[in-house]
Formats: sequence, structure tokens, C-alpha cells
Amino acid sequence: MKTGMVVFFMCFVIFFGLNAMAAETAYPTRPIEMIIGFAPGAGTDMGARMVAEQSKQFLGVDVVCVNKPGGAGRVAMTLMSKAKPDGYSLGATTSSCIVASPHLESVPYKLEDFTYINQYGTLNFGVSVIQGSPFKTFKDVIEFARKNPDKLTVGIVGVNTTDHIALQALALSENLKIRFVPFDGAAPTMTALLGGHVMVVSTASSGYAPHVKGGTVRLLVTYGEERMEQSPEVPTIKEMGYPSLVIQSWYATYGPKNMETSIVKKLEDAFGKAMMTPEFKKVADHFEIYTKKPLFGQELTKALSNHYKNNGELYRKVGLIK
Amino acid sequence: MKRLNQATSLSLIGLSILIITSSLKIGVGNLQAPGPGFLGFLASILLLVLSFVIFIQDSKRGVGEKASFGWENLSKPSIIIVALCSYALIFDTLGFLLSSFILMTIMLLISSPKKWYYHIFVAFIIVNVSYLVLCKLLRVVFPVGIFRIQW
Amino acid sequence: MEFYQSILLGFQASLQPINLLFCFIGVFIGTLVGVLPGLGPTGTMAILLPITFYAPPLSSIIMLAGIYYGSQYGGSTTSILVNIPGEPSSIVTCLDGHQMARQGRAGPALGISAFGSFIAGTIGVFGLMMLAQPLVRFALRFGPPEYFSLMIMGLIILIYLTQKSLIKAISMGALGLILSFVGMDIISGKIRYTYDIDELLDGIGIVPVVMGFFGIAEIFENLEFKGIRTLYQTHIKGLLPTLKDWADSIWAIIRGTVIGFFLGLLPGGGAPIASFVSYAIEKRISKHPERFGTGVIEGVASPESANNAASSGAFVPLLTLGIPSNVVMAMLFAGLLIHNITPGPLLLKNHPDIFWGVITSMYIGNVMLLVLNLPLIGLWVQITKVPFRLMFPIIILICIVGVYTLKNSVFDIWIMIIFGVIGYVMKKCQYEPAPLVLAYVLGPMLEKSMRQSLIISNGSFKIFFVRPISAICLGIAAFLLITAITGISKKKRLEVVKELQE
Repeated sequence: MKTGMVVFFMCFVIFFGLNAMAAETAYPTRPIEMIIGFAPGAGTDMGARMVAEQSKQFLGVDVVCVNKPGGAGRVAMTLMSKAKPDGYSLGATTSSCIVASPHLESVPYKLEDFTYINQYGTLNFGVSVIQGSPFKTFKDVIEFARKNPDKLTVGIVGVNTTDHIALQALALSENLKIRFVPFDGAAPTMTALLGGHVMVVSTASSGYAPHVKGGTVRLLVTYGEERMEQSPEVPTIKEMGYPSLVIQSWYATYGPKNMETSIVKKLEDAFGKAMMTPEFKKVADHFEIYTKKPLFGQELTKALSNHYKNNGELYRKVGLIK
Repeated sequence: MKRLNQATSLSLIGLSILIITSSLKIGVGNLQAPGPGFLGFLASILLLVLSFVIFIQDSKRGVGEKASFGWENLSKPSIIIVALCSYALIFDTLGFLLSSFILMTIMLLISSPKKWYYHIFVAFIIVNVSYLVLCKLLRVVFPVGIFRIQW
Repeated sequence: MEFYQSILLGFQASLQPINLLFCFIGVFIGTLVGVLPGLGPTGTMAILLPITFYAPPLSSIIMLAGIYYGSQYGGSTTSILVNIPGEPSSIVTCLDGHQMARQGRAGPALGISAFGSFIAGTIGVFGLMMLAQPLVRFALRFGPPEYFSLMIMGLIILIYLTQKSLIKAISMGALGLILSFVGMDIISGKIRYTYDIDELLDGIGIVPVVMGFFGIAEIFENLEFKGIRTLYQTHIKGLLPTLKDWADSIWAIIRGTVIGFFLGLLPGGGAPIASFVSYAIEKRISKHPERFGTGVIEGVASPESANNAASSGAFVPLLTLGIPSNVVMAMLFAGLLIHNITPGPLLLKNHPDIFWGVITSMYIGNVMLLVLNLPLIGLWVQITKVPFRLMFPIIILICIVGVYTLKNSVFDIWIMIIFGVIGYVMKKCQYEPAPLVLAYVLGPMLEKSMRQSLIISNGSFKIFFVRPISAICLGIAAFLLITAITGISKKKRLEVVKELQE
């Protein structure tokens, strides 16, 4: 009887010991949830879903994507700032929610509230016109605005987005009066352009790329550091003489703050490998969000806080904040 | 009934005043350049005026049909409302399967004369069938709660 | 000749076994999704999109498209049976459809809905084929001023949806407008009326509101009285529409199709608006408008045809210009891009097999849906015999789940409960839910278009009258308004005369 008890007791201990060990070594042990702050079908969503889908093979568990759109990504970020940092709640968003919005509105989160995992894409913005437009270059547009104050209509996707702010800064420095017409998505903005209701539009690549490919729209200038691979003949805003208006906006995955370093490292690894898969590259190419040298972890965090600081200065200069 | 009607129109009046003040705070602008509160302002003024008219109409009219306001008639809806609110509160904590099961049992219990174990059985079946269709077939994601009940 | 060759090419592609299979899967899932209130085609398509990476491009698009127009078929089922719209475009079907079910005529209602959807869908695809290019140019001429005038017209149509007190209907409309403005304002970026509740940043959400207002409120009402055995007291009178039903509805179907197709074309327009407008116009030109809302079959045939025609029309901007008219089209767009296919003017040139393959698959899909849905009518009608005390918990559960799946948010469940209570109280006080919902749907576009137009015109209101399409819409709106008011004042005069005589 007594031996039986001892054996039973030992099994008990071993069982629990094994369990405890198992819990420690294996992250992840159950599906991970990735909250996407935008509607399905948008650039953020497609890229994130690809990363999630491809990283399954490297993590061993499902990464389940859930859309929680709202406030241009802000609702999701607010929810994530309160989530548990156990590595099972992650998010995907655009960097403007982190480095731009907090300057302009009171949001209940800060840059420091999150652990940044990796950058999975770049938002390339550009100014485009309809194929038959009298504007042949970006300089034409600026000249028109100069000679006809208050006449140029520029379609933008949402108010105080990164490209909108850049254009406002441009208008301020050149003393131009431009009328910005906001739309709530890249698609309505492009539609308005095609219908001739606005003269010029500024959108991310997910907006103009398909139409440029289709031949109905002409890209005048891009906001990146270098010319885009897909459109090598299009100058950058830097070349046009406005280096301070270069925009960097990224798609990034993140989690709540205080996530364990080993977990973060595992995720960085898995997501990085996911981004090297041909399936991911295909999608990234199509939405033109592909990044040659994506940033991870610490580098990403540093870059984001630099952005945040630079944006603050830019906005003060433009007069958006005091 | 008359009281209820009056209460309703009064609440609408109250709501419209609330929205009017909010609209004024965020900026109404003018007709050339409407601000964010412009249409909200107009709509709530319209609502205010109309609710006022309705209020006067209701007050003038005599007591209409005798409303069925006894506890007998309102008991079921009230219980369901309370159950639903509790459900929303415990949903994330207890997870889909458990909280839906509790809710279903309550709903079946209050409306049917059959024995309690019959209801528990039916509730169990219904909740699991819906879980099957939604979670497994349509791949919807539900919370699992602190007890991690899922299959 | 070339045209027939293209169609042949299309059918060759779409009749291949794998495409037939994907088509069936798509419409089946679509119907299921449409029937379940709340869960919409977008969510399902997002979940299934990764599967399309591994499937051939045409099959993937056929499946995704099938989900979309399949959901338009299924949406009317719950509207008719339990007064809960499965899709926003089926809200109007509740008005007459549910009344018909109460009179034991759920079968004919479901039947005419299926047939109407089939006819509209087929004609819509036909229109898509023949008229895509010229129509899209027409659609592009709709800019912010035109949308504004269209919305004004829509709001005036609100008046035609009412049975009871006009003042109460207008106040519901005003309330609907106010509710639609909650959230972040697109033009200024400011946050309005949210009182610091984060989840309201994107607005209240039409689905929880509609489910609460229509569905939950109705259940509360039914729970009041003791002794309700089944959902409806009357006999089931027949499973299919009678000849008379057909005679009554055939013109409604045709009108609905035309209206729906045109409204579906407009980017941002879409099925819900199409169904509202079609219903209102049907009521306006009917010889017995006062019977609408009590269970007339045209009240079901018209909106159901409209929303299916609209879903065909919605494909036009995508396939011809590469502009998605709504979120569903955006998903299809993404799906095409993944396979190296850029929708737009070059689609027809570069990938004629895809273009015609998708279009012809829509015919096949419509036939499949008819075959799927008709036998199901018998099944659905049996459901009406289930005792209410068993049905209502299931309905409530379905509503809760439907609402939750939208944004995985418990907050939405709260919204549904709150609006359920509000709806319940409102019903008791003789306020109607439909005007509120219509105003809620139209509000955002109304405001957006107005402010965008004023920015474009630099503050001048002339822009609404100078542009032809906008002027026409406003003219129609004014006409409807005047005839409504004169109609009413006649009634009022009669009332006053009666009162004086007493």
C-alpha cells in the first residue's frame, strides 16, 4: 500500500514537472492572434495576412488574423496597448499610427507602449494625374497653384495623413493656396480623379499602382528616398528640390510592451523568414510595398522614435501643432 | 401608455439638446464652409422641434389603449434583457461556449414548462452545433475564456 | 461575331469541372453567410482569401464572386422569416416579407425572392456583358455633388417608407442621421460625439443597430404576450408564388433590376441603397400604396431584384476600370492582383479568358443558387412551425454571434442590446424603425459629399445645380417632396373635416 502511494506520488510530481518544463521551453503552444487595425483587402491587411500565413511553418502554430478596423488603425492600437504581453496577442499596423497620430490627436497610447517586432512593408506615396491631364510634371502642378491660388484641387486619403502633411508643408513653404479634398480610402480618391472631379491626387501605392499599370493614370512624383523600382522614370520629391518632404511610412508588426526577449526574437526570426518566401514577395510586389532591407526589433524601435521626433518638428514648422 | 410616449419624446428632446451642445463645441461652421458639427446640428434641431411637437400631441391626447404593463407581461422581456447584459459582461471571461450555454439555458427555462434537464440538454446541443458551424466551418474566432474551453 | 466568340470562350472556361466546383462552393458559402445575420461576405472572403493563393486564378475569382452574389440571395431568408435582415440590403425586405410570413405566405415570399433574384442576377450579368464600357463612363461622372443630390433624393424617399405618423418618421430619420455622424470625421479628422469611448471611433456600426432595432426589439415584443405557440398563427398557404403573385410582381422585378443595376454601378452606391430606392419607387407608382408594409408581394420582389442586380452592377467598375465599388470588390481586386492580374482597362485585352470566364460563371452561379434555394424553401417554411419558445433563444444566439463576428468586439453586442431595448420602447410608442435605418445608411455619404463638394466649389452652392446629373436628382427630390406634402395636406384636410363634423 505504502509503495503504491509513493509511486503514485512520484508520478504526480513527474507529471507536473514535465508540464512545467514543457510550458517553459515551447513558445508558442497555441495559436497566436494578430489584430489588424484596418479593413480586409487594404494594404496593411494583405501584407499582414501573408506574413501570418507564411510564418505558420516556422512557428509551428496558426497565426490567426482578426480585423478590428476603426479610426485609421487607432482602435486596434488602443486595444493592443492594454493586451497581455504573453506573445499570443500581436498586431499589425502602419507606422503613422505610432509616429504621426499621437502628435495630432490625443490617443490613449504612446510609442513606448509597444514592443516592435518587424517591418513588413513600406508605404510608397505618390502624386498622380489622369492620363489626359495638362500637368506633365510635378513642377507644372506647383506653377499652376502659384498662378491660380485656391483653384488647385488635390484629392487625399484622409486628413492629416503623412502625405497630406507633406503637401501642406510644401504649400506653406512655397506660399501656395491649395484645396485639399479628403476621401475615405484610396479607391474613392482614384475614382474621383478618373471622373475628373479633382485635378490631382496623392495616395499610397495601393491606390495608384494598379491604374498606372493599366495606363489610365500617370505618376508625377514619389515621396521616397530613391526612385521606385517599378517606375524608374518618375522623379522623387527630393530630386524636385524638396528634400525635407521625403516620407517614410511602414507596415509593422508589434506587441504590447514588456514582451519577453526570447519570444520577440522567435517572432522576428519567423516573420523574417516568412518575408523571404516567394508567396509573400509576390503579394508585396503587387501592392508595391516590398522592402529590400526591412528593419527588426531594436533597429525598428530606434527608427520609429526618430521618426516621431522628426515629425514633431515638421508639424510645428507647418503650424499643425503649437 | 401616454406616460411612456411622453417619456420617449422627452428623452429625444434631451438627446437633441445634448447633440446640439456637442456640435457647437466641435464647430458648426457656416453654410459656405460647414464644420464637423454642421449636419449634426441641423439634424438635432429638427429632432428637437419634432419631438417637441410630438410631446404636445401626446399630452393633448387622452389616455389611449390601456397598456399592458403588468409584471406578468413584462417579466420575460426584462429577464432576457438582464440575461443579455450579463452575457455581454461575462463573454470574454468565460468564453463563448460556457457563456452561451448559460444564456441559452436561461432563455429556454423562462419560457417553457418542461423540466430543467430537458433545457440543459437542448441548450448544450444548440450551442455546440453553432460552434461547429461557425468556428470549424466558417473559421470564426471566439474567445475561450479563462477556463480555455474549446474543441 | 467576336462577341459570341468571347462568350463561348468564357463558357469554355467556366464550365470546366474545377471552376464549376469552385463556383458551387462559393455560392453555397455565400448563401450560408447571407442567411446568418451579421456575418457578411467580406469577413468570409478575407478568411478564404489565402486559399486562393494556391488555386488557379479564374477558379479563385469565381469562388469569391459566388460568395458575394450568393449572400444577396440568402440575406432575404431571415428577413422574411424572423424580421431580421441577414444583410443590410435585405432590410427593406423585412417590411413586407415578414408580414407575408405572418399571413402564412412565407413560401411565396421566399419563392418570389429567389426567382426575382435569379431574373435580376441574370439580366444584370447580361447588362454587365453588353453595357460595361459605356456605363462605366456614366458612373465616373458621379462626383461628390452628384452623390449629395442622390442622397437628398434618398432621404426624401424616406417619406414613402412610412405607414404611420409622418412626424415620427422624420424624427426617426433625424435620429438616424445623428447616429451616423458618431465617430471620426473624415474631412476634418476630428472625433465627434464619442464621449471618449474608443470603440465608437469608427461609428456605431449598422449591423448591431439593425439587429437590435429590428430583431431583438421584435423578440421582446413577442415575448410580452402569453400563449404564443408558433411564430405565426395562420396556416401555411402554399410553398410557391401563385400565378397571381407572378402577375403582380413581374414588373416590380424588372423595375427593380434596372434601378438596382444602375445604382450598383456607382462606386460607393451598392445594394442597400438600391433596395431602398426600388421599394420606394414601387410604392410610389403602385395603385395601392397604402397596402405596402402589410405584406404585398411587390414589396419583396422589388428590393430583392434590386439588390441582386446591384451586385452584378458592382462588378462593372472593377472589371472595366479597376476600381472596387465596395469592400467586397476590394477583396476581389486583391485576389486578382495576387495572381498577377491587374483589373482595369487592360483586363479585357490581356486576360479575356478571365474577364469572360468570370462573367459567364455568374450565369452558372445564378442557376446554381436558384436550384439550391428553391428546395430549401420547404425547409425554411417548416421552421416557421417551430414553437416560438424554442426559436427565440436560437434567434438571439444567432444575432449575438452575427454581431460579434464583425469586429470580434463585445462592444458591438452591447450596442445590439441597447438598440434592442430602445427599439422595443420605440415600437410601443409607434415609431417605425425603417426611416432611422435608411437615414443611418445615407448619412455618412450625404455629409461627406456635401463637404467635399463645397471644398471643390470653394463654398459655392451653385455646384449642385450647375452640374446636370446633380440638378436632375435634386429636381426629382423636389418633385417627390412636393407631391408628398400635397398628398398629406389632402389627408389632413379630410381629418380636420371629420373632426369638425363630430
